[in-house]
Amino acid sequence: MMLDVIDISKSFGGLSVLGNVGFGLKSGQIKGVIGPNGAGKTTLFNIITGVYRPDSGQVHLYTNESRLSLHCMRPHRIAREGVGRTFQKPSIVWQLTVFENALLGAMNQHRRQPVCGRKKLKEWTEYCLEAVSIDPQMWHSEASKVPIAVIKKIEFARAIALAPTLVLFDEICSGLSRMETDELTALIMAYREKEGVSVLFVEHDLRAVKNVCDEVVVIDFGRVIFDGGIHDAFKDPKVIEAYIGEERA
Amino acid sequence: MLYFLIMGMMKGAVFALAGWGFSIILGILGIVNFNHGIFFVLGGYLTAALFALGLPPWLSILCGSVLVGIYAVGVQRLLISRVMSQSHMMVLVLTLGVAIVSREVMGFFFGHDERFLVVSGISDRTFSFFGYIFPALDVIMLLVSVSVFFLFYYLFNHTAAGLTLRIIGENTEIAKILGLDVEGSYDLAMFFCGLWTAMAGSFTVFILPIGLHQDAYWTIMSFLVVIMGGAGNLFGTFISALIVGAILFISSIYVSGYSDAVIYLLLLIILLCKPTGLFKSKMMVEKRI
Amino acid sequence: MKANRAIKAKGVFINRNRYMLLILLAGFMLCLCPPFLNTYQVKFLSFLLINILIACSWNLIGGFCNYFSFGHGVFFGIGAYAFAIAWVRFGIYFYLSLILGGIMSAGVALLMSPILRLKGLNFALATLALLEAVRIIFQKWGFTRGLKGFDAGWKFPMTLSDQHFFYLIVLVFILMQISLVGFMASRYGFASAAFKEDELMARGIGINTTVCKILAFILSAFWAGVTGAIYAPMITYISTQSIFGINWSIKPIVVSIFGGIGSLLGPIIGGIILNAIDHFLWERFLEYHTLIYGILLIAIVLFLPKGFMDYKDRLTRLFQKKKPYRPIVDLD
Repeated sequence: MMLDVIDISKSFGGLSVLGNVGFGLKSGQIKGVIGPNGAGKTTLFNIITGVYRPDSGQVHLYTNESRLSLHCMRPHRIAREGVGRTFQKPSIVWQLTVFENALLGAMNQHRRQPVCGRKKLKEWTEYCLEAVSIDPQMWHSEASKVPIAVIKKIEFARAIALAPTLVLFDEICSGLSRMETDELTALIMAYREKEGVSVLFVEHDLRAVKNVCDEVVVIDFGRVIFDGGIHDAFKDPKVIEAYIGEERA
Repeated sequence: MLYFLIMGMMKGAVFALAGWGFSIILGILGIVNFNHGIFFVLGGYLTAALFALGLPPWLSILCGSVLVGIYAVGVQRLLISRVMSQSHMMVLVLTLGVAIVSREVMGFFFGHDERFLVVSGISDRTFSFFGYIFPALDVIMLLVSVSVFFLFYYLFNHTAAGLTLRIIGENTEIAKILGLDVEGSYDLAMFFCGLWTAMAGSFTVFILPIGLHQDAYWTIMSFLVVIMGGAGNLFGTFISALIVGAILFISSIYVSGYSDAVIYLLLLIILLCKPTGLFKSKMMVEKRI
Repeated sequence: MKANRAIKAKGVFINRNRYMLLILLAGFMLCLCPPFLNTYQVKFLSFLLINILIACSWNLIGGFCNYFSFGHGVFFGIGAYAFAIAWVRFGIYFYLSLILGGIMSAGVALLMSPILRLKGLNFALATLALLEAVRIIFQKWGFTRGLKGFDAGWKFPMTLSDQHFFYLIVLVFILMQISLVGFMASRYGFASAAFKEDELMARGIGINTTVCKILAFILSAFWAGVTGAIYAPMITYISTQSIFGINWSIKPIVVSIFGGIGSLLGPIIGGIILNAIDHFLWERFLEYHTLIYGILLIAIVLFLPKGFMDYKDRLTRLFQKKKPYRPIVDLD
């Protein structure tokens, strides 16, 4: 087991966003997190990365050395322990270049595998940028001038520059064409093959989810309604009801 | 001691009157208006000028306040609305500039002397309750504050315009989609802010001397009672104002000279410990600040 | 982990080495000036540099980190008063007292660092409250009031000549720029670009925003304090009215916004231009001086919110259609 989400509940004011959410993520696995809009997926990510504290429940990350309780840690500590993340709203620094944005991730890497020294940092960042196949000619363009597909890749590169063991993708394919989505998912799978990271993949594009994920957890109204293989998911009546609605006689 | 407490609270009523406008502006427009103290001081000066021209006190107060309301709308329309869509910090800097300019223009127009009005028959009257003596003007100020509070409450919660303002405060985009006149509502909110704050100043000019350079003080005091009470929460502002008045008065007796410092330190502590205020913040101010 | 990062100035790419060269050159040329100028002009330049120094220190926390401090003058004042107490009351060596002024300010900034938790508007008002509170306390407290308890300020004997002060200020200016460049080129300065954009995002990618903010705040306060400590003996008399006035807090904001927030050159250019205008107004239109200043403030916010540097940059980009692109980050 790599990540254990145990019985997480969270409410804002009177609104209960997550209720008793629990699932596990095995090492090296790509697990999808899907569900209708507003089901609480981003909140779940925020809790895993330490932005919010859950009202109850725990999140445990298993590294080579120890078990970390993510629900008590602060966001930058969690990132330093090897949890990379992309954001639903493109959150890069528009005034810096593509390269510098990726460098931001590289500078704050996992504290057990430091890449020190200017030259090594530069090489590491270049490696990450190549791994997500961003055209080297674009590396020194200002981030605000770059197309959206590349922006998503920058977030990807920045996340993997942290040398993470767990990566959380929050709707990274949103706003991309079918071709761009396929390219991105292929890159994610290649990255998983190479580095053996575990991935949590939130997406609305079910085709992408089917391509990439081994298992999937379905969340509706803040509760887990399915946790298992990707192919069984879409045969499950509860999942169908959540997405499409009940069949009217 | 009880006497001091009650006296202090009465003196604090003026902060409530000055603060409500600030609370509405902060809650709905989401801006901090550094020009706020100018409304107060201008109200006092205009009232003094009108009074000197021979108008009876109540009319001078009314006219002075309305004039300041118009001034407030002017500033909003011409200047603030252009910058509001940018960062809120820029609005802060802008209103700072407006305050500086207004202060100087007032200095040219009115001269730099302080204003203090005395009305024979009222200024030296006192009421006595249960053996304690209270200056009549302070009591009147308290009564005016309370009435304005109820008026505000009614206007805000039970009129269509008030509803519009509240909707805009909650979610501006939805308001625009619904076809509500957002700009007009901003102007209306600013008008009333200027009106009530000037009214506070107009009354105060009978109680205390008001000087041109006091506007910063009143701005900060308004901010203090609003933050303490929760931005947008009118009742919270009122209670905070009474508390602040009491603290000011009592500290001016026991640690005289440092009483202002006590207030600023109080503001610091409140900001650090509970920036949303002691009472619940009524409007979605957290989104804006 | 240093990156030889070019420091971006709102569109104007300034290489770190080029910038330092510029500063050193300017400093050198300034040092050559005094023999050719009369006392009045030397004093004018000294005051100009003092204003620029404070503006640069404000820009670190206000421009680069987006925490608009509206009471930055408090550090200026604490530096001045710390110097006064150290030198006059305790007889500590002159130059050491100057440094002590900076250290005291930095210490107060460290103490008050929890206010960095606050968001924009609240932070601004918190700094303002701090300024006023400190002003009143220093005014009333016997220890800080003056040498004798009933004094209203500190009086200093004439120590150094005007020229000597000028050289001292130029030295402090150069040292300050070195430290600023060092900070911005370090990982903390680099990280500030990220958390200025979006603090939550920055924390999510591993940046310890708390440490970055506090470092910037302390550094900014230190230099404001040193500036205050030099200013005090220069004008030979300080009191709470003069040193803790709101002008010392507002002017650096105006200068920095005018010159270009978030750029190293911004406050310098802004300081030069605005002080020239200020001086001109003071001579010709003394009465309307503050009024025109306020109008200028409004005009800047309305028409030039990104500052002069951005305006200049837009103009140059208009004329230079093609620029051979130079990579900014050069880690070699």
